[in-house]
Amino acid sequence: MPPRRVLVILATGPEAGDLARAAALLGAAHRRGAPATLFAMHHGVRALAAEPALVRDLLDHGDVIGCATSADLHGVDLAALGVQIGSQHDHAPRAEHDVLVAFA
Amino acid sequence: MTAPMITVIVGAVDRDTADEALRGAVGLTLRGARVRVVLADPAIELGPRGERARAVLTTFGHPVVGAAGLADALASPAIEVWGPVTGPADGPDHGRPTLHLVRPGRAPVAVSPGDTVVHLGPSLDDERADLVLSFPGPVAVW
Repeated sequence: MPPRRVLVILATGPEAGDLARAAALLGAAHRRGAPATLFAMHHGVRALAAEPALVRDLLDHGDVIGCATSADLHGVDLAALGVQIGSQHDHAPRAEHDVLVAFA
Repeated sequence: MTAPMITVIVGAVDRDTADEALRGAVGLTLRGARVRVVLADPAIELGPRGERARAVLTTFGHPVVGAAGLADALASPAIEVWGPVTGPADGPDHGRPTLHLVRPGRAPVAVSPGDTVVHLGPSLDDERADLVLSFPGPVAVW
């Protein structure tokens, strides 16, 4: 069986410290050869903006997608961070065997 | 390929965050998942965005229930928890283990026999990250 796809949801701001935890999961998935996606919404887009160097590292480990609606609301330039501009469609897991880990 | 079942538990959060949790729950359905929302804190207030999202969910058959739904919430194969949640420490056996990741200052709810509870620090070490990725059941982050 191929490695399970990992979907990490990040909805907390930088004060929660969850981006580092999410980054550890993406790194572990990368080592296993498992496809991984980090989807940031709500205050999660602020967490991305607060750690641009970490976000650059994350881009080597998987897809990093930000909710455009949340980014607009919080004044975060996702494109400048190298983050894909996404929507709630990216929040949804693709199959039941996906690993869903939500920091919210 | 079967669509997943996802439970969204909304704890003690501000109104904007509660609205986002409900908007996010609608988002979770967009690839066909079935979603169940548990409003676990009796004091939760939804704003217009949250109420619209609740209406969309219920219209399409995704239940939005109160704190009484918390006991069975962890039976779901995927779990999203928003904010701190207060509830019974112990839960029923769902026949499948849940991995509880507990952030500093938080406590897990409805832990069943056979579940695994891991208390988190500032990051996840490699061992714990590998545990998350290989765990055979759902992961709840408290």
